[in-house]
Amino acid sequence: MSGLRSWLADGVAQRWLSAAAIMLSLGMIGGLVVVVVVISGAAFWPRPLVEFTLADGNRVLGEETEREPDTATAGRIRTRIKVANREVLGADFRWVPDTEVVARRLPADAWLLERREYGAFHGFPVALSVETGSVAAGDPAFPSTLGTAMARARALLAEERQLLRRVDRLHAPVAALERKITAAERRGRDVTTLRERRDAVAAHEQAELGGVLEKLPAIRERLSRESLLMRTTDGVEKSVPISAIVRAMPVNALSTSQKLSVYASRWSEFLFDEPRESNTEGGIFPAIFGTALMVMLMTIVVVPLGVVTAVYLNEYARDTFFTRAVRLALANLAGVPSIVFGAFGLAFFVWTLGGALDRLFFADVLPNPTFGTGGILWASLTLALLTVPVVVVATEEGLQAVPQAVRDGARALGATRWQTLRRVVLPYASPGILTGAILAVARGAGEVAPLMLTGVVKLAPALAVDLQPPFLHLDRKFMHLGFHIYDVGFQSPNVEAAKAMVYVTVLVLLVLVVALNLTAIALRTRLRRRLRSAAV
Amino acid sequence: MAHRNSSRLHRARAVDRLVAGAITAGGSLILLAVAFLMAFLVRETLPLMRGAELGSVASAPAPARALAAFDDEYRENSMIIADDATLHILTAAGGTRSLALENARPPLSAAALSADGRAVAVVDAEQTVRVYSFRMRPTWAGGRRALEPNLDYVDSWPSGGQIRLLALSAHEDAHVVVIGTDDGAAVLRVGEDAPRQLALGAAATAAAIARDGRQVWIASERRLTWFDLGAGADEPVAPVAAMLAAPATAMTVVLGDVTCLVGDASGTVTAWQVVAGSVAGERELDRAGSFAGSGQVTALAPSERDKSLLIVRPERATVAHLTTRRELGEVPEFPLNARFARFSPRRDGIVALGGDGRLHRWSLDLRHPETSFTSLFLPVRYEGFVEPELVWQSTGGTSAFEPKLSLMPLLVGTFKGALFALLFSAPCGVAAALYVSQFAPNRLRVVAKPLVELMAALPSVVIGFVAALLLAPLVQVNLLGTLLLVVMLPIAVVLAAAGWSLLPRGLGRRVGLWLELGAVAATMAVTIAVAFGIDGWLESALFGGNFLTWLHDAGIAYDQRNALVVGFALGFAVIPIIFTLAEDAFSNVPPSLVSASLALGATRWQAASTVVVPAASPGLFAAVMTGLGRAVGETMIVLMATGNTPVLSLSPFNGMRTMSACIAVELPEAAHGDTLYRVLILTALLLFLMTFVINSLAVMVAARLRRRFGRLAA
Repeated sequence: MSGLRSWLADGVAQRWLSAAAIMLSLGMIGGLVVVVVVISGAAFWPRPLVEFTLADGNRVLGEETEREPDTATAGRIRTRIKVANREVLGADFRWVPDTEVVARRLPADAWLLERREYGAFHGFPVALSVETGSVAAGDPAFPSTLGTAMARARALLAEERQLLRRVDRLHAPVAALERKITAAERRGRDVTTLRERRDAVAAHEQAELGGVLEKLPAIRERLSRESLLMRTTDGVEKSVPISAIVRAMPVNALSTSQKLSVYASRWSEFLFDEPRESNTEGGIFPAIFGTALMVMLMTIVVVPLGVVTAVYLNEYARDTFFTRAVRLALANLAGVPSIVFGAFGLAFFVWTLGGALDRLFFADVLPNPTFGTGGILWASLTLALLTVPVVVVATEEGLQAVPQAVRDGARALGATRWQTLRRVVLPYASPGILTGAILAVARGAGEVAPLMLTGVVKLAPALAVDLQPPFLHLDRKFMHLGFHIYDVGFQSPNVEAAKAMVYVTVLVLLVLVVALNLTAIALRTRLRRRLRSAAV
Repeated sequence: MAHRNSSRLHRARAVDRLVAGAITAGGSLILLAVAFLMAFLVRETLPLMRGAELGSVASAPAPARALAAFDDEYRENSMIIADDATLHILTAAGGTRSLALENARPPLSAAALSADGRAVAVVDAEQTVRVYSFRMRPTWAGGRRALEPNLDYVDSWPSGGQIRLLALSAHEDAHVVVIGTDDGAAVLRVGEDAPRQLALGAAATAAAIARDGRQVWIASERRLTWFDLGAGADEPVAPVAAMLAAPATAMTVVLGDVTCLVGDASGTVTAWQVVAGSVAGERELDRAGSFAGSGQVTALAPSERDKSLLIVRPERATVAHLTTRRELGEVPEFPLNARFARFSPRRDGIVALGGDGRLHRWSLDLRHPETSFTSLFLPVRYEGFVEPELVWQSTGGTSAFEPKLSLMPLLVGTFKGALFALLFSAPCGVAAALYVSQFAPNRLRVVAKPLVELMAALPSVVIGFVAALLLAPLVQVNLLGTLLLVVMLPIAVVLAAAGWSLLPRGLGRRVGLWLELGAVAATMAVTIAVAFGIDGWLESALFGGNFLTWLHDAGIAYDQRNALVVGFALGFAVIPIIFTLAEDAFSNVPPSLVSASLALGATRWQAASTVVVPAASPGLFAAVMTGLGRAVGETMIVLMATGNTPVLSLSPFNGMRTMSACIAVELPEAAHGDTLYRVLILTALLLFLMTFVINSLAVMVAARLRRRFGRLAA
């Protein structure tokens, strides 16, 4: 008994338990990072296409995605196979129990086509029909002909896109005039001159448009002429237009370096392209762009606000009831759930402020809201409110690192308080301010809940920055990495097919946030070292 | 030169004062912002508390002897059916128009309107029942809207005797009329010549027909009977009856066709619903609430927008709401002995025919009649429910849906999630902080703190995603193993520690803390492997092969995304907060205290447990409170890792919906200014106040702690 008591007093068990707690915490963060990195790192690597021959004579060609014990029959293992060919088979995935598999092989002539629509296609090429004629799949010229055909299609598609953009641009002045006319009519003004101008511009548009629209059918006709005839493993033949193919490869025959180049090209598509197929394929560029722009706008608001508050608390105010109230407000601002900020953002910024702006300046397009609906400006302002405490805390730490002697010295030389602050204190405290800005950016980039109420969308039709004046469109809705994860991972009609994409998005967000935080931590460590030396 | 210098000095001073003012203003901005945020949220929820607003607009002389009256949708024209067999229209401009009711012989003895105001039934001098359809067709002329009335004859039935009662429904242009006869009631359907007799054995005193034209409620004195006429090929159901406390004098069916309101001679209005009877397959009538009042109820009128109702008595009229069982207000200057009263179609006005022979009109703004303190926080018996319950179900498919806006399921869900998170994160975070501040090798401390800080910075959407798509299925497959692990891990660590102390003392000292940490990690790894290893074996030995099936058979429901998973994921988010604050609290304990304790012969653990922990306890309290604040308000993790079903269950195997997730999901869909919007803003306000209290408490406790150690260190 006394042995137990002295053992407990010695505290080995307690020490072990508390050590287990820190190990568990570190293990959890490590585990999460490793899981995300491993899953998303493998997501874009080309996987072999396996052909299974089943007991009933049917054949399945696809990528093995996972294996698990069959819940229906004990002791049986089944494999989930991504069979693709959505329009032929109806579903992207299929479970195959091991017991039903008769044979399994890796056909060297199986091709994987990544398409702009309907997902991937698994099958065997039969023939390629191009402008110059038809090339059989066995022909040694087949791969190069396919490559040039795809390059040609890409060029034509780009040309088509450019023409369509020109059509939009041509129509823009007419649309602007139409808006002016409606607005003037509403105010009861005379619109005859405006109408005349509109008609003149419209006539010009028609004249130009004719030339543009003339070219479109030719391009589309050329695009439709070239196609690749494929045969599925069941023997169904399917013609795939060349213009619909993003990437084509005989996966099983690829060398490691070829696989690497596919891997790299998929990553670059992911980072720099637009999403396809309701966000389950393609890239996440608009989400990255939206996140960056929103965070930038937020920084413009939050850094001055946070720095001024910190300067006030640290340099100007004495410890009074008022400053204690400000500190309490700050602590609460830091502790209030982000969704409350979202609700406030929606109720105040969007409905109240945005509604008022619309009535004042955009009355001619009402009831269509301009600022009276969620948008990137309101989202940034909401997040700015949310991240103020982060900037204040970091800036205060920076200000406290400034030795009092430096301030006293400046004042003794006759500098005013403002001159001291601007020339001496703030430069000295700049690492703290920078840390605060970085931490705010990291927090803002990862926050999702308030955005869901103030302007984030699953698919934004246009970026908030473009070549149309006024170039920066603060009223536009935007896409966001964090919301993209939630939306595609949970709201998408085809969650299973999108899973890999979401994991990669998670990785991108994680890398972004962790890199920002590591930078801030490094900066702060340096600052603290200075604080310590200043205190001596 | 001197002059220029002094002017520069002046300018510098002026700038200095200006900047000082600006910075003070900027610093106060934060306080203002928080105050404004709270005030604005309060402002947005206040209309919920305000009662109905009723204003008298006008009264006009009614032509001839008026039997019934109604407004059009825009409240521009008032239609009056008078006993001269004419439909009189009082237009907005002050004019009058008349449309004759075709073939009807004056004087009419009764008139009835369908609920939607698109059909009229009258009984004429020959005791013939005639049905007309009525429409107000909007026409556009010169950009202005004009309403053009259309009155069409539909059908008629001669009746043998005196008609006492008349009720009409028009569902998709299928008109059904109920008339009261000497020994009960009869149903007349367009296209059917012979009336269908509903025998009661006594004369009916009040009757109502549901909007679907199928259900008929008839009262004869104290007996209330419900008939299901069946539609098309459906077999009619046997009538069900119940006894009333007083003779019925007025009846109506509330929008949704579930509840029948019966007003009686004693002045009480009772609500009745058809529920499943005690014998399987049978039904019975159940009294589901009442509105008390004095003076015989002379008329009842339902709203076609919600569950509001108008109760008319000889001397007064009140507006009430079924969901809250609350009287919203009295109609001002209501005429004595009103013969007829009705809501306008959009429930924004009331029309009544007074005993004074005039038509009275009121404008009406009920604001948010479906919410009250009771409906937000206490059980309410909704339509189709057998007893009062706490339910959150904000939107349904049709306008007849009764919104169920009880905040209790959300509050319970919020605290359930926070509780499970704290159960995991509070011990873990505090213990980890204690280890790092008191026992850890210095190098670990340097690495662990920023790492845990990084853990705090991980976006919650990432944690929620991994928890929902990876952890939840994993836990479901290895549920028994997970539960085992929760129990086994602490036990295994303690046992391994005991084994470790048995090692020769010299060896234990020499290998140092790092090896000990390695041993702890190894113990945990082995425990995890063992727990998941014996999972399958235990399942087949004790739970018939599958733990989930066993749970199901034992009557315990299991959701894949449940409180256990959320507790773990939320705990992941909360641990770093608790850890950081607790570690600060521990490190702020002056080392002199620990040294003194050690010098008096205490072991390191004794010093930690008797000196450091008590001294830091206010800080630990602040840490756990801050963690609670975060757990209560966290949105994305619960949104993703719970099923988001607002069920009231404390089981760790069930999901829930928290206040934050509910706001995130429903606020974007809620129309600005409507009841759901305001209730959700109220939810946000509650969250704000809750975290405000929690955080203020934490801040104040931490401040007191700082002051205390300020003294100690001095």
